Amino acid sequence: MVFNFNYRCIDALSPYCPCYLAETQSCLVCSVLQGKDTCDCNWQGFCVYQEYIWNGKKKENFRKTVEAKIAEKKAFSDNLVVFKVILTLPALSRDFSQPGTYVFLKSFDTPPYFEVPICVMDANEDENSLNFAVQIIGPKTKNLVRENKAFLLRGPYYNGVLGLKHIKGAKNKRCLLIGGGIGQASLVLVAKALVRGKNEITALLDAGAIKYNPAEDYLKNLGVEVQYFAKQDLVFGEMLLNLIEEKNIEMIYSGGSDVQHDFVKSAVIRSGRKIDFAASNNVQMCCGEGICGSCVVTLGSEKIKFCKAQTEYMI
Amino acid sequence: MPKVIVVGGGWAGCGAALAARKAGAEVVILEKTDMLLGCGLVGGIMRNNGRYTAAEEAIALGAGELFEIADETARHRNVDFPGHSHATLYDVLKIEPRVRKFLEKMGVELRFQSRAVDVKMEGKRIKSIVLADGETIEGDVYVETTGSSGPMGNCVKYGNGCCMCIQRCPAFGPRVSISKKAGVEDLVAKRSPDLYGAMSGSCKLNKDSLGEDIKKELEKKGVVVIKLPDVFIHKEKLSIKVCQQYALDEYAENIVLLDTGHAKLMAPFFSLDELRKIKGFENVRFEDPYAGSKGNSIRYMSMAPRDDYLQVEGVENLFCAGEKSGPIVGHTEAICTGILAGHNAVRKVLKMELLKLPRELAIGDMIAYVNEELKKPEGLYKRFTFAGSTYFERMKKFGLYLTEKEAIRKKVKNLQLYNVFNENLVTNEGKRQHGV
Repeated sequence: MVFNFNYRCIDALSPYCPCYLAETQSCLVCSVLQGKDTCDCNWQGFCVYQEYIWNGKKKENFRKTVEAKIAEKKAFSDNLVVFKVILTLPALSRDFSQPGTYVFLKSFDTPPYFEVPICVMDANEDENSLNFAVQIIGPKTKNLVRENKAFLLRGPYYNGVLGLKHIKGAKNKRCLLIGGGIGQASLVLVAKALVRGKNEITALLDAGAIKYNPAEDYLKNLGVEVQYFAKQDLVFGEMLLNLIEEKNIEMIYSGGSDVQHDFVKSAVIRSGRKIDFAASNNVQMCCGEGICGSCVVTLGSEKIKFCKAQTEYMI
Repeated sequence: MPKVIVVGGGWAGCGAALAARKAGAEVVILEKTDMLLGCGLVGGIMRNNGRYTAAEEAIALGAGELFEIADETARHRNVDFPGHSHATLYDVLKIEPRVRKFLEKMGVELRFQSRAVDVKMEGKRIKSIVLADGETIEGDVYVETTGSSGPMGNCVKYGNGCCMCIQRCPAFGPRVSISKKAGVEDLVAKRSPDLYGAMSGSCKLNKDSLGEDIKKELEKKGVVVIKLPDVFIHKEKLSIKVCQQYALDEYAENIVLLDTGHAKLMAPFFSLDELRKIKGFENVRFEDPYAGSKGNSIRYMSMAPRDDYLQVEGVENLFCAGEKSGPIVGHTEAICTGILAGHNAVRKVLKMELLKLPRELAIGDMIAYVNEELKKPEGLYKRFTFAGSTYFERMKKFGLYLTEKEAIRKKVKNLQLYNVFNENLVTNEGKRQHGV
């Protein structure tokens, strides 16, 4: 993975800033909250140190774990289950509706290390509900899909998409969303944000390992033109190149594996066009708070925490 | 044509731009806010004590236009106030547009809301400046006049928090140390072993909020001194002040107001509650900093090690001036160092010998003396100004303090430096190289 080194903190300016990292002198933004004597910050429009002092030298709100009652549960293939859950107050689904939002889910009777990071596929404010698509892979997801009544839900976490500014900033553009396998679950909230920006959206879906396209109906309901692809189409690249040319694409979001991202990226380069590129953040998330270290990627001499560092793929 | 990029449009940056433009360069000022002059927007005091000498030296050296604009914009001339003689008080509400128009007419490109955040290096040279929006600006040589105050994290850590001063960091973003980004560690002033920086020394009251009598007297004389009731005397405030020339007991025992367009109150901050208990101040409110009850900006947080040509040590094409060039206090000091830095920046590109001002001149001596003092163990605890305290004493002791314009001009002429900043080096160097 090649990232642009200029990163911002996804939680800066949010109700969750300052966070545990400020308390432990590991803030992503503020040099003083990294233990240095003087200011040399990665300014994001406000002073994290000032917020920290005003807050009594401690973190702001932390994410709470709430009960999420299972309202619907449907298996679409032998390894794909889609849930609809109803949040209990004070959790509000509108706080889970940004592109790239994910949560940690587990059943009530399992220990904390059963928590699975799961992308929010859709959020419905009227019902205060969220939808998740779960691919059954290992012990945590196997355990999760056995549940019929309720989950424990911790969130929201926001850094599931890299290059977020290209999605939030897209206005009246021709956009292409590419969803491979379970990665397509992230397309729905991305599409909703793009619809708000009056963009023209085409989605390319490949069911892949999950053998069903869980995002398809949601996207069609949003007025997105849905087409299909197979993995080989990406490998050879012609299909994508033709589509970019034919639709005059200006912005692409890739939701899927890193391999998929790389194929999409090389098609973008081959097209010779200036295309904004955003992609799902596939780094392993475990705590979501920058504490556990599972999301750390070493780039040059710097260790970057990808649960917090909002950056973009370099083209 | 050599291209000089000046980072920071305060008095020092304006001085640098002026001198670089006079020397024949293409000049761009990058300024993070929407106005020039920086702290000069709330300053106003010129020509007090030794600053008179320095201003006249700059005029004789051929780059005195900014002092002339300040003189033309003066609300009061030849004002005396405690510890200070023959001050000129320029009108802070009128001077910025005049300086702006003057520099525009000179052909300086002014770029506002253009905050420099980083540099791209080529070995020990700066290749370009990176702005907050990602744009890169390339020049041959750079002058850093970003000052040393703020950002608000420093004001929170070493002061009483952001008091909403004229720098407006929350709105326009923080100052970034360009020399540090170029790999040179900042020098940071101290007030005690673990306490950095010093606090701005004056705040400003809205003049219309003062009682009519005080306002009238202030507008007539330029200065009003009012004895403070004993309960309101806080001498401890003197020690935190940047401006040691105003750290006299008179300033703790009295309210000293100067008419600079606002009513400049010569204390870093003042409890509004206490202030309003004094006759004539019943309805008073602050003009700068907006939260003047609470504190003021913290300064001298970022100075660059430099030589007497004002070149930053360790970077081949970076000069500095104003507070960035050491613990020097004041607009006059900023303009004088700015002029030399801007001039030498052009010499650097033309591969000419750099100019060092001789120690017979107050400006030259101050630049060299500050550097010597800064290298001493106690150096980071000191501040220097032509206007008072140790450096003014030194000026008097060594005969540097002159108040006769003609004598100053003659001295500069004798040193073969008359109008030296007025020479178009680019044209003349071209001629020299072609044997014309």
